[in-house]
Amino acid sequence: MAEKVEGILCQKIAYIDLSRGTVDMEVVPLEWHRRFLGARGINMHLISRLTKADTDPLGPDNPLIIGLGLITGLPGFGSGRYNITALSPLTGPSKNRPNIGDANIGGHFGHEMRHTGFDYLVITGQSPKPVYLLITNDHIEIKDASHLWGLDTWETQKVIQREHRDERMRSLCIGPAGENVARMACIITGPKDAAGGSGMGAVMGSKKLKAIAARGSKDLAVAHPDELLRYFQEQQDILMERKWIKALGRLGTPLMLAIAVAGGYGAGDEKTLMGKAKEEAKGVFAENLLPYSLGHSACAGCAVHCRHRYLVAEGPYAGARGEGPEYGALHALGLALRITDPKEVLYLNGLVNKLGLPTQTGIHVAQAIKLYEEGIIDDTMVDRPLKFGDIALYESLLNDIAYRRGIGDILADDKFGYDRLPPEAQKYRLSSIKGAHNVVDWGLTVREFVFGQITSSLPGHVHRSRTGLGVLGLPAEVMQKIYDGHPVSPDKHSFDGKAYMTWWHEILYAVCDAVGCCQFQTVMNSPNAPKYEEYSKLIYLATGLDMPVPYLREVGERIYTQERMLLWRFGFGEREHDRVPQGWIHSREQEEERKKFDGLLDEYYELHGWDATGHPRPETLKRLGLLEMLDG
Amino acid sequence: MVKVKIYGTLALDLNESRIDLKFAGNTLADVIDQMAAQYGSKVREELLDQEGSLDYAYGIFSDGERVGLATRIQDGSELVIVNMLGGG
Repeated sequence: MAEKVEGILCQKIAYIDLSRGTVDMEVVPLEWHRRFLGARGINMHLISRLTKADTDPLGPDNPLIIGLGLITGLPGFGSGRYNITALSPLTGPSKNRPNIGDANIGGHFGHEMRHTGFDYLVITGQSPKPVYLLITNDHIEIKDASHLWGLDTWETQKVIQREHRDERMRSLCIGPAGENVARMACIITGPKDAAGGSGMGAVMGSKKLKAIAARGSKDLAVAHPDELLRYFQEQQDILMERKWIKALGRLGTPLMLAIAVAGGYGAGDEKTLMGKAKEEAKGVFAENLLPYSLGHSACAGCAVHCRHRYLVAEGPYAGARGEGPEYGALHALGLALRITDPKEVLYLNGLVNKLGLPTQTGIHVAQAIKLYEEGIIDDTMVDRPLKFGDIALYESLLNDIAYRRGIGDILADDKFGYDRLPPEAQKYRLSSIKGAHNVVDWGLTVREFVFGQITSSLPGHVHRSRTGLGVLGLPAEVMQKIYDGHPVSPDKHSFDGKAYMTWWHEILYAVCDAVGCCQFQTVMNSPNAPKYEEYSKLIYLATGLDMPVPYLREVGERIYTQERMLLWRFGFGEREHDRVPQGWIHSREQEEERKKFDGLLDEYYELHGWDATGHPRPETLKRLGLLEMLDG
Repeated sequence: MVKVKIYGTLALDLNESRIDLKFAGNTLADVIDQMAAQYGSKVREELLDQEGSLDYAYGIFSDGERVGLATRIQDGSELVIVNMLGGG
């Protein structure tokens, strides 16, 4: 097949320097698409070129990168996804040293930006006063945002739409948490879509960048439009017949909580339930959110519509509204705070989204209460007793974190805040993985989940390799067929084949993210969901690029090993960083299990082409065209 | 008596979150037969695939462990039926 290099491969990258107030732009080099596809792949390539091991994550040289996937903006495969990437101020080895930061995000912003003609924004510098970016067809303007500074994320988006008299204008923005550079702050678009987990909102706030608004009307010239539309329809028809997709569309990810409780893992682990009886946890099961649901909504380019729009109509939380909550929020803003009333979770979920905090901030609140119970945070440091079950206290602490007030100022510094607490606080530190503090101990039960999390190229995050097929109870022969003929045990307690399984998912998801598809619509939840074959066809029909399956697998390897090299650069790429954290070991039995996790590393490294210390081998780097990263 | 707790879409479809079965059979397959006799064909359509095997879109658990169609179910057992997702 001859390659047709035009259309959506001619989108632009803009370099925006907020210190100088300049915007430069060029067409995205085709070579980048060939090597990294897009989104996460190209973002990390830019990070590798533009940063050093000592770049201050809250300084002007940290590039905040918005990068779209190859198919972001097209109508199918959950193509509302894209990546926001920068050096993380949350997970580095010290306050001024960086680590990898990245978030895959949905909603409608990506589609809108793609129609402006821009695929990548690389934002450096620091503005002396609050600004926002206005992205329209082939044009970028840096605009004053003094009137937006101080607004929450929902108000910000609304004011920008009103100002431009355009309800279809979509914005990424920060709330008070980002403005005050709370290290965990996220970037929000719509009611709840968030770039969370590695402090991207704090980076945006450090640049005094309040929002990025996009409105585009340019056509996306795809290579084979008629066939592409037919392909989207065909794939969507198949997808929407699946039982698991129907379940996601009716109840969303909150379903995961019942699964976790039934299977005794994740948020259903007895320890994680914080002493709550399993019966009580059911208060926040998916079915109990339905009375508040106004229906489901979806990201752009997705027919699954996996999240609630909700409204609490009466009672003390009357008027609470928003989208979600997702499974993680039911834990962090629910069970971890000993809440089992869905209305309270819905209220707090809306609050953190408006403040621009990730839902995981509930864990910080729970930790503060624990430190108070232990007498480490005392009454001289807080203006009221910290106790579980006090919703007004939760609200107050979340606000204090976002505005960096009182004890909230310490909590807003995440792991670095411990240095400002009495020395005995150190022994209550939460577990860390590759510098990511505050990583929840879900128990070691599902081997592949744990192994994927400890080895993840995004510190502490599960979505680099979410090996969901392992809990579906598939027959061994089906598992073997999926995993290239390699035996992978379907038993969650078994370690057999789990290194291969993790590696396999890492490579596939790297491609999925870079193409711009939603991970929910690949083999996370079903062996029959789209994977390389479908992506290959999709890329050809959309761009004209011929990328057969083996080519895509190599791209996936390249993206993943590139991230490993960055981890190495930032001081988190050694074998010791791929171990189960000591804080997760609570028994002699778990100590033995930890050794078995260690035992998976050799095979895992070998599959990646890395040596026994966890460093990519020079020949691997040469094969993947990443040899230059050895110098930086 | 076998207690069957149901969460997710099947609970919505059957309008039941818990069924107490006077169980007369031996295996999980018998439990499903009995539920289908009581609640109609939806039970089979949802829990089984076209080949009559357990559909991976659902998980059936006893004491935190998955059970299969041939698993022996004792009187007094408690089962949990829930939609399965691998991630979220």
